[in-house]
Amino acid sequence: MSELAAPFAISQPAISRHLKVLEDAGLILRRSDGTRRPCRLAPDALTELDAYLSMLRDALETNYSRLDRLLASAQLHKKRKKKEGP
Amino acid sequence: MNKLSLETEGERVVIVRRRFAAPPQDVYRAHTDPELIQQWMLGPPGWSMPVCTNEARPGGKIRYEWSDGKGGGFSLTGELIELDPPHRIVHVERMHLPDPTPDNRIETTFTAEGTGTLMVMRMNLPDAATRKAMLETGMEHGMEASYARLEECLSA
Repeated sequence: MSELAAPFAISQPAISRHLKVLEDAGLILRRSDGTRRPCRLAPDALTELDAYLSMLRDALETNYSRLDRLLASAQLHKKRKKKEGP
Repeated sequence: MNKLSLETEGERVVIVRRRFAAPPQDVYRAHTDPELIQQWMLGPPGWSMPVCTNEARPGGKIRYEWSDGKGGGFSLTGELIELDPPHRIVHVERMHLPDPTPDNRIETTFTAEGTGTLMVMRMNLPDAATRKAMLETGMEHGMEASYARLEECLSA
C-alpha cells in the first residue's frame, strides 16, 4: 500500500479506506499475499456505459483544450478584422 | 472554470457543459468555420482531419473525415437544421465505423457569461450496440493504454 500512497499527499490509512470502498463495490479484487494485498480491477466492473462516457469525456477534453488554445490565439482576431474590412 | 461536465438525463440523453474564455461569437465561429474546426476537433494526439465540410445554413451538409496517420480513421456526416448565430446550432450527425450509427440530433447553445461563454451541448446517448461499436473503435486509440496504466497502479 505504500506504493499506492507514495505518489499522493494522502496517508496509508486513507488509501486503505478507499480501497475497502472499491472492494465492497466490487470494482477491485484483492488477495492476501502475506503482508501485501495486491489488488486489480475486477473484470467487467466498469459497465460499458461507464467506459463509453469515459471515452467521450476524454475525447471532448482533448478537443476542448485545443479549442481553448485556438480561442486565445491571434488567429481568430485576425479573421475577425479581415471580415470587418475597410 | 473551464472544467467539462458530462451528465446523463434518463437513459437517452447526454448533456455536455463547458465554459470558454472567449465571447459567444468566437466560440460559435469555431464550431461552424471549417478552417477553424479542422484545428481543434481532432480526437487523440497524432490524428488529423483531412476533410472538413460545414455548410453553415439550414439544410447545409457536414462531412468530417479523420485519419490516425497510420492508414486508419473514420468519418462523420450530417446536416444542419437550425442556426441562430451566435446563440444556437441544431444539427443531426452519424458516424461511419464504417457502418453508419443511428442519427444523433444535437443542440448546442452558446450563452455569454461575463467575458466568456457557457456552451451546453445536448445529444443522444447512443444505444448499447452503438456504444459497443464506438468503444471498439476507441479502444485501438489510447483507451486501452489508459486502462493498462490504471491496472498497473492498482496492482502495486
